[in-house]
Amino acid sequence: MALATETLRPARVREGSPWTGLWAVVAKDMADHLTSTRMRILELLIVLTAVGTVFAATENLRDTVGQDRFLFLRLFTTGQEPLPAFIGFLSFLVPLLAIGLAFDAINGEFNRRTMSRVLAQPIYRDALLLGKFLAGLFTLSLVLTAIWLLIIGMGILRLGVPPGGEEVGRLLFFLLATIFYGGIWLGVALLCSTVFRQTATAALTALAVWLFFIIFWGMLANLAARTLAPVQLGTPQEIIAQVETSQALARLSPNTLYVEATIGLLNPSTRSFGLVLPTQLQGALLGAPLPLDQSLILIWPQLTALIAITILLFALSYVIFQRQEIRA
Amino acid sequence: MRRFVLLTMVTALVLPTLLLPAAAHAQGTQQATGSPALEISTPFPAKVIGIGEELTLDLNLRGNGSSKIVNLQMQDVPANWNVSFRGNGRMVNSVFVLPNEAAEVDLRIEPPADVQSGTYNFTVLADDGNGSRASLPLQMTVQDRLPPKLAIESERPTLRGEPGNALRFDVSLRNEGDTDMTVDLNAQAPGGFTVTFQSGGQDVTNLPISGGATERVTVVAEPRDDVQAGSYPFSITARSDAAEANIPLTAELVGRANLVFTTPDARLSGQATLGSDNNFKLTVRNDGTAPVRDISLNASAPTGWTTTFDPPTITELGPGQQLEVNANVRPADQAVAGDYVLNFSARPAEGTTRTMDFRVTAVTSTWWGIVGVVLIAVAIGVVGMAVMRFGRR
Repeated sequence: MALATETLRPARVREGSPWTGLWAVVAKDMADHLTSTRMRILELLIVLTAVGTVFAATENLRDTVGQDRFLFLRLFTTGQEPLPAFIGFLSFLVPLLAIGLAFDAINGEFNRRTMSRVLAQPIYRDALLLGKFLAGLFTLSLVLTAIWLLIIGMGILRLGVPPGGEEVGRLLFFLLATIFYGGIWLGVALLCSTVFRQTATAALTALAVWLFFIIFWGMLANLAARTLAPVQLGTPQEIIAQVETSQALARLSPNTLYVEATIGLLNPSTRSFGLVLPTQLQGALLGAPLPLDQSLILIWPQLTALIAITILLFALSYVIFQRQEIRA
Repeated sequence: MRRFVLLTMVTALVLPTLLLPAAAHAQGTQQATGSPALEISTPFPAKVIGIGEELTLDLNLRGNGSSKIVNLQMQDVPANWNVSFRGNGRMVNSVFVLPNEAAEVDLRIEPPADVQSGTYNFTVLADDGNGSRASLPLQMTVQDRLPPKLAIESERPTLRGEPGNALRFDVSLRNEGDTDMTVDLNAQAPGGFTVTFQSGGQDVTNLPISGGATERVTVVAEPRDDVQAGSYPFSITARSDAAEANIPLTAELVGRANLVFTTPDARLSGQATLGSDNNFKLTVRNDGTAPVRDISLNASAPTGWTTTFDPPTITELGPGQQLEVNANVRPADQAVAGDYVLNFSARPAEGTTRTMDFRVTAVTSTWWGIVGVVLIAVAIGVVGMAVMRFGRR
């Protein structure tokens, strides 16, 4: 019986761990990323944006805010005309950076005809794909953490106060949400680079998906909500149903998830994202900040969705990549 | 011839004696139309003094003709009386009088300490040594003085009030003697009272009262908050060197309830999980001096929240008693997490309702957070399954 099983399923027997050589791939790819001109340009762009917006924000904060418990959170959320706040920039610079990191991860190897050479090494495909994905994610984390520290350092220098414990906690979760928001676009780009053989096609497709979600999805969600939950009699129930449908659809976009997570974390007085009925606000102290754990519970679905979508996108790329034929 | 000589001698001797008075008389009559040769006067020749007092009289001396030195004397001075003339503060015996100009001299009369009351007559004599004389009769009445005496009275000697509120007794002090006196005020206050005296809005401890005058004094008796109800008599004593008077006053205190509504640690905030029962401990205390009856406990909370108290009412709370009450707050299921203000109130049957703003931080149960973790676990599981299924050489 044992012999029969062996002969029936010879392909399924693997030797050693599928993750052998994973860290070699991660190290090599990270080195490529961090030295590539493309990444330098994007990083420079983000650093300049960070310095500019935070400088403007501190100018504004020093003028207007005397006593604020969450001064450092305002660094990220305060804008000064004509510059928007830093988080506004982040929500479209991070996808750009992530797509830039991964749109040629797989098909680039094919185009350079290095894929078969790499796989000729004792490295499984699993390790190669995960290594490329992790390299992108780590590069993203490295860049974002560096900018995060830069902003906090600038804040300490220019505001003259250290951040409080709760502020640091909120900012850490904000960093986590930002990294996984980047992770989603990294996953999208990786998927495109796996599916399309041309790097340009992959880049354009990823950018198209990004533009679709950032520009058109909101309008589409609105239109779809009108069709799915039409307001026929104008009763409050119908209006509420439509608004809730529209919101549920909008939350399919990673952009919405990220913006909501950011607002919940960086604006501690946020109590709810949905429609709040006047009866729910009776007796409520508006403007009172939520404790960190309550804010986390509020944005927990958004945060876990960002992480889960990242993982699922990787899983999808993995399945497609594993089923591809690779020839020398 | 001898007879003629004798006659001339007699005439020479007698004539001047006959002539001189005539001359003097002529001089006097000559001055009777204007003023006498020497005149002594005082504005008030009859004065009344009390026993133990001294008297100083202003004497005016006036002469005409030539300037002269006038000797002064007193007649009919009773024994042990001290009488002296004084000029510029010094004892003098004579005065130099310029013609037609008044000379002033003081006459100081000091009766002995044991003088009897009655009327005494004196005469001041002025004599210039050249035959001009003047006299001035003086009368002095020594009177018995009124003994120093104080009277104290109040129109409303009994007042009624609540603990913590000052009672104000109006008291009038009358000096029934003649002499001015300074009166010290004292109170024998019962325990728990602070007694002060006010005159003209100012706190005083003593005050001067002139003879025969009346002063109004307010006695402010301030009981402490925790003084039990009852009647508290006390007395006020006014005392000077020579006289003393006192008056009994009564403060009647009625009991007052003072309800205090708070929490055991005086913290007026708490945390409540949405959709579940949350217990808050509250305390109801009576800091007053009378019992509080039928306290009902209520809460005004946002819609959809339920608040119950255990016990819902308190039948009676005696003075100094304290009771712990459990407030059970159940926030609405669909409430939004965050801070809310609840208003708890304790309403006694009589008296002031006490309210307390209680800040509740409504928190969502962390149970739903696990769902998110499960979601991530499922995603990782999908990757694991994909590795299992599609993992190739």
